[in-house]
Amino acid sequence: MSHQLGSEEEFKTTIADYLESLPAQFSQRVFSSPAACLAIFRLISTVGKQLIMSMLYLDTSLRLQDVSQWARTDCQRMVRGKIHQLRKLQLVTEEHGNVSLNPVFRTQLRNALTGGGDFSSFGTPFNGTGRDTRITRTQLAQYADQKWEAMLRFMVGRQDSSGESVVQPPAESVRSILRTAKLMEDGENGMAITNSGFQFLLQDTQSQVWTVLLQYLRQAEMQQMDVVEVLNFLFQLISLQLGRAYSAEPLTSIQRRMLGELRDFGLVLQDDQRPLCFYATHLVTMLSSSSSTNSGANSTNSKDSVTELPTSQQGELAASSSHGYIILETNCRIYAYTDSPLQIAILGLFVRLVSRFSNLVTGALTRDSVRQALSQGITADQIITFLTANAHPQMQSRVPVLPVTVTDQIRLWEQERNRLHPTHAHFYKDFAQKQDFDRVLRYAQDIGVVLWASIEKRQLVVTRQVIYARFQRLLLCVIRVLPWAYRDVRVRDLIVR
Amino acid sequence: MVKAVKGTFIECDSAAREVLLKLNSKEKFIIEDLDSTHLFINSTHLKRIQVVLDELMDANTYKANVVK
Amino acid sequence: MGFGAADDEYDVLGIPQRDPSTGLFGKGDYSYLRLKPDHESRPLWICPQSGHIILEAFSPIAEQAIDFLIAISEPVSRPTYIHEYKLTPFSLYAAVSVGLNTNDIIEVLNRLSKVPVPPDVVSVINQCTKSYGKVKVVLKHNRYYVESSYPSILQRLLRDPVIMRARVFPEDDTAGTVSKDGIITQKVSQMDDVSIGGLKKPSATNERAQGDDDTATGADDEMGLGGVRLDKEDEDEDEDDAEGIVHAFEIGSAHYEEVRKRCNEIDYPMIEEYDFRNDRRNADLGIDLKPATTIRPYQEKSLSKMFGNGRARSGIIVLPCGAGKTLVGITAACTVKKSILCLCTSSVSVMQWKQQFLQWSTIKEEQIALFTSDVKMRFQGDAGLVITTFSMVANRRKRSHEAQQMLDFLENREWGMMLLDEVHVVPANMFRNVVSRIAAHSKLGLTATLVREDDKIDDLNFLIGPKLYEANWMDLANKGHIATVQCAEVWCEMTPEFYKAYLEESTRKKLLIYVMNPNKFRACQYLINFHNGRGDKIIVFVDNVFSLITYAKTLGLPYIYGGTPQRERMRILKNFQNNPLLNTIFLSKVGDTSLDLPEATCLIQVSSHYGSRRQEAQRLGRILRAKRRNDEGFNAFFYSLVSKDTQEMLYSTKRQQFLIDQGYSFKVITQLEGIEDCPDLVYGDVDSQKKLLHTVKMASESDAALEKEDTAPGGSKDAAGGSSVRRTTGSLKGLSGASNMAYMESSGRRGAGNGRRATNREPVEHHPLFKRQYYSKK
Repeated sequence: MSHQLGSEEEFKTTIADYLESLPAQFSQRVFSSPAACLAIFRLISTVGKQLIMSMLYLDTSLRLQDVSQWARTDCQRMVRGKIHQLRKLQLVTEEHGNVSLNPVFRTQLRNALTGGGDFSSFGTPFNGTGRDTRITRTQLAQYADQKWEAMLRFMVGRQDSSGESVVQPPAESVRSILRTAKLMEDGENGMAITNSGFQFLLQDTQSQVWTVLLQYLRQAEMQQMDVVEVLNFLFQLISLQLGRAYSAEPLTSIQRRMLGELRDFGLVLQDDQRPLCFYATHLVTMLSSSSSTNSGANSTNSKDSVTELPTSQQGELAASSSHGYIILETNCRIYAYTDSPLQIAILGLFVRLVSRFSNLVTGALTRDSVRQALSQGITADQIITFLTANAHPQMQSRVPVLPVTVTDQIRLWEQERNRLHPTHAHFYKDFAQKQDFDRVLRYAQDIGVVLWASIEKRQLVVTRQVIYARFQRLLLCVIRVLPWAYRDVRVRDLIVR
Repeated sequence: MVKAVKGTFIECDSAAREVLLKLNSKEKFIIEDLDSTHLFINSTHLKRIQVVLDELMDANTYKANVVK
Repeated sequence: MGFGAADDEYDVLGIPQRDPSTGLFGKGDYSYLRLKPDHESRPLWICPQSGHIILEAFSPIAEQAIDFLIAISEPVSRPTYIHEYKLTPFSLYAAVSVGLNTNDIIEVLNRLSKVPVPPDVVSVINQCTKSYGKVKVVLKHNRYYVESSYPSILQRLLRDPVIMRARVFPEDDTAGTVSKDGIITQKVSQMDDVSIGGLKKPSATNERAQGDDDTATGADDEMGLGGVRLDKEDEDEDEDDAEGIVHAFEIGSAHYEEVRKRCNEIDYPMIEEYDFRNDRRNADLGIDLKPATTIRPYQEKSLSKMFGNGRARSGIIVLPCGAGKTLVGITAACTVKKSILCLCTSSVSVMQWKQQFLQWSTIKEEQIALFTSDVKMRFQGDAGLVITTFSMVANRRKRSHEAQQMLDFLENREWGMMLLDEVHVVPANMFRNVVSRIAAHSKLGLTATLVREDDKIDDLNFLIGPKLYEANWMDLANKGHIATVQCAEVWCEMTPEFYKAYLEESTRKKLLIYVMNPNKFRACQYLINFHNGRGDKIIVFVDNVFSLITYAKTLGLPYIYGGTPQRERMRILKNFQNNPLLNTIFLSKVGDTSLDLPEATCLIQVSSHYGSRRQEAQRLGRILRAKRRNDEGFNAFFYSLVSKDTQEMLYSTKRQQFLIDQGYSFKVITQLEGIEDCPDLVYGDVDSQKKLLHTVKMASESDAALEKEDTAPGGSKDAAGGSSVRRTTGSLKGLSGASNMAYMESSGRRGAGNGRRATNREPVEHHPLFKRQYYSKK
C-alpha cells in the first residue's frame, strides 16, 4: 500500500509543483528565456493570466488590497489565493502588502509577446538544403501516435502461453522512464505493469505526457544535468509550431541528447537524413494550450490549481478531433465505438468484454470486472473519470454525463473492499493508575497518534508509524515500570476470550 | 502492569463486526473487542478475514448473465 | 453458456491473430464482418451464431427500425441509446404470422444492417420461415382442421406418427373435394385487402387506421424499403394461394393440443386464424366500442397486428402494466363480434373486466355472464360474454352441480374469441388444461411480460400463438401513457443483535429476521411520513403476513391480507381512495392479484417474493397507471427496502433485472437524510429493538413463510376451499417466483407435459440457435 501511496503522490505532481520547488536562482534562469515565460503563461489559469496581464506593463507595484477588489466580493478570496499561487511559482513578488511581477519574468514575457529579445528561445527554423520532401502533419501525427501507442501497448501488453510478451518492447530510454516512474517494474518475464501503471493508462494523453516529461526532468536532476537547460528546452518544444522544421544547431549538447531521447516517445521527430532538422509532434505542442472552458463537473481538478490541464482530451491519440466513443447505459452495458487494440485493452481492464465488430465493442461493467480493476490499484474515480472523458457525443448532453446509478454502483463496489479500514497499530492496556493512563493519553494526543482510546477501560490504540522508541521512552518515564514490561508481548498471552 | 501488543486496528460497521465475532469463535484472531465499531486483531489474520468478508458479500450478490 | 466460458476452452493460438485484441473475445469476435461503406447511416449490427441484434436507438430511422425489430425479434434490453434484440424461433414465427415473408425479413434486415447479414443467420431465418406460417389450424363446425396451401406440407405432417394418430378421416358429407389420402381441397374466399380497414371500430378509426397505414408506407419509403409495408399480407407467394385453394385434414378435437405441440417440435408451428366475418354458423354478438372511447396509438398498433389480414390472429399482446390491456381486449372483442370467453386470474379481476366492458362498450348487462365460485350465470340470447377465472375452468376437483352445468355449457359450444388475461401468471398446467378443453376460434393473450422464472415461455407461447406486439416501457412513459417512476433501493443496516441472529438462525427463519429489521421499520416510517407530507397515496407491500401485521399495527395503519374478510377489505380500500386522512395502507401479496386497487402514487416494498422479476414489474404497474401522469414532471415513487448484508440484497437485484432492461434504474440510497434526527420514529433505542428481536425469535417457522394464497371468504375459495389462511413454505419453484399466483399448482406433474409426449418421436435436427435455447430441456 505504501508503495502505491508514494507513486500516487509523485504522480499527482504537476509542472506547477515542480516549478515551485525550484530555488530562486534556477527559476530566474528559466525566466530569462522568453519562450519559457510564454509557455508558463499559457499554462496558467484564466484568472492567473488576467492578473499577470494587468501587471505586465506596470513598472510600479500594486496594493494587494486593490487587486483583490477588482473581483466581486464573493470571489475576492479566490483571487487572493491565485496571487498566492503565483507567488509560489515566483512569478509575482509581494512586499509590504504590495504585489508586482518578477522583473525578469516581466521583461521576457513582454519580449515574448512583442517579438523583442532573443527569440532563438522559440526555436530556429531549419533552412537547410537537401530533399524537397517535407514531412507532413499527417506523417508527424502517425509517427507520434505509433511511438506513444507502442509504449502504452507495451504497458498493457499480454503474455502468450510461453510468457513472452506479445508486444514489441520500446527503446531503452522509454523503458527506463517507465521503470523510474514506477509505472512498470522488472519481473521474471521482463517488465510488468504496476498499479500506478494501470492508473496511468486510464489518464488522458496530456496528463500522461506531462508525467513522462516530469519524470524525465527528475531523471535529469539525478544525472546531474543542468535542470534549467532541460526545462528551457522543454518549454521551447512546447511552444514550437506543429509541422514546422526546426534546426538543432543552436542547441546545447544536453539539449541534443534530449532530442534523441524524446524521440523514442514520439514527442519529437528527427529526420534521419538530416539530423540537424527536427519537428515537434502534437504530443508536445498540445501541452501549451489550456482550454480553460473545461472546468466544472467533469474537471479532474478538485483544487484550485494554477495550471489547469485540459481535461476533455480523451485517450485516443488522434491529432485532429477529440471526440468520445464510449456509451455507458443505465443497465451497466458498454458500447465503445473503437477498433484500436490499445483502447480495447484498456477497456478490458475494468469491463467484461463480450463481442466485437469492426467498429464497435460491446461489454458490461460487472461487479467482477470492476473488482478486478480495483484489486489492481485502479480507483473508482479513475474509472469514472475515464468513462466521462471518453463519453460518446450522444451522452454528452446529459448532466451528469454518466448515469448516476452506475457511478454510484462503481463507488459502492469500491467501498465494499474497504469495510475494515485496517491500520497497523499498537494496543495498550492494564494501566494500574488512572493518572498514568491520563498522562500517556495526553501525550499521545499531543503528538497526534491516537487511533482510539477508552478512558473507562484505560485502553489505548496508537498508530504504528509513531517513532516507537520515543513513545516507549515516554512510557518509561511516565510510568516508571521496569523496562522488560515493554517488549512486545506475544499475542497468545494477551488473548482474553 | 501495562501490556502492549502490535496488531491491526479495525474500524468497521456492525454487520462486519458481527461476522468477525462469529468467525473468531472458530479461528481466534481478535486480540481485543474495543467497542461496537472497533476491533484490535492479529495482523497475520487480516488477509483471511478480508477473504471471509468478501465471500459473504459475494454470497449476497446476484450475478446477472452478460452473455448472449 | 457465455462467451467468457467459451474463452477458456477456446484455442487462442489456433485462431488467426488479427490483432492483439482478438483473443479477448473468443468466439465473440465478429470483426471479420466487413462494414458496408455507408454503414454510418444504417442503425444496426447483427451477431452471427447468436442472432443478437444491436441497434442505435438514436439513429434518425430508429423508430421504424424498432417497429420492424419488434415484429421479428424479442427485445433483450432497451435503455436509452443502444437496444439489444434477439432472433428466436418464436420471434420469427411471430414475424411470419403477421405477414412478413422470408425475403422481406432478410432484405429489410440487410438494409438496416451495418454488416451483411451473416450466412448462418440467413439460414436460420430461412429455416424458420420456410415452415412457419404455412400451416393453419381452423375450427369449423366444432371440428378442427389442419389447413395449408401446400399439400406437400400436409403430407409431410401426416407422415408423423403423432399427427397420423390424431387424424380423422373425412365423412361422406364433407364439403370440397376429397383426395385419395383423405385430404380435403376447397376453394376459400379471397383474402380481403388490408385497405378495407382495420375493422377495429366503426368509421372513425377505420379512417385513422388507413391514415396510419399510409404513414407507415411513407416511413418505409424513407427507409428506402421500396414500399415494403410491414403489415402487408404475403399475397403472391404461390399460385394456389392466389386462387384461394386450401387443403386440409381433420384431427380429433381431443388431440388438438398434442398435434399443435408436435407441429412445433417438427418446426411447423400452426397459426390459428379466425375468419370471423365469414362465419355464418356462430351467432353474432352485436357489440361495439362506445363512441366516447378513445384508443391510444400503441393500442391501435397492437390490434392492427392482430387483425391485419382481415382475420383474427391468435397471439399475445405485451403491454406494460397500467397501459390499458383491458381496453385492448375489449376492442378485440368488439371487432370479432362473436361469443367471447374471458379468463382472469381472480374473482376480483372478473368484476373489473365486467365493469370495464360495460364502461367502454355497448354491451348490455344481460349479455354478460359471470362464472365464479359465488356466481354462476348465463347470458341471454345466442351469443354473449362469459367472464370467469382460470381455476374455475381448470380445476379438476369435484364440482357442484351448478358449476358442472356451467362447464358443460362452456365446453359444448364454439367461442369466437378467448381472452386470456395476465396469461404469464398462470401456472403452466392449469393453462394447458383450459386451452385444451375449450373450443375457441381465436385466442388473445394479454400480459405485461413474457418473462417467467421457470422458462416455460416456449410451450405456452406456442399454445396461444405468436407475440403480436410488444410495447416499449420507456417509450410509453416518455409519451405520458404511463407514469414516470423514480425507483430506489433503500439499504437498511441490520442492527447488531438482529444481524447476529440472522447469521445464526436457520434458513427458513432468516427471512423473518431481515424483514423485521428495526432499521427497516424506521426507514419505512420515514418514507411514509415524507410522502404523506407530499400528498401522495402510499401502498406498502409486505408479503410475509407476520411482518405485515406487526408493521401495520406498530405504525397504526390499516392492513389487508388473505385472512381479511371481504367487507373489511372493501371498507379499507374505499377509505383509502376517498378519505384524505387515510393515505397509507399495508397489503400482503393479495394486493398483487386479488384486489381492485385504487391508484397510488408511492409504493414501498418491505418484503417481496424472493427473486420474482415478474412480481416486481407487476407491482411497479400499480403506480404506472397513476392518474396525474400527464402532469409536467410528475413522478411516482417505487421504493424497495432491503436489509444490508443479507440474502435480500441478492433477491432484490435479481428482481430488478427485467425493469432495468426496460430502461429503469434503481438509485441506491444508503442513507436516508436526517433519519437519525427524527425523534418520533419507532425502535430508536436498543431496548425496544431487543424486544422486537425476541418477538421474532418466538415466531414459528410457518410465520416466516410467504403468504401463498388468498383464502378469504368471498375471495377466491376456488382453489382450496376453506376460509383459513393456509401457509406453506415455498416450493423450490416458488423460491424462483414461478408459482406466485394466488393458486396452488393442482397437479403434481412437473415439466412441460412430460407424460403426454409420444413415445416414438421422430428425432429432428435443429440449428444450434434453437438447440441451445429451446430444446435443451427435453
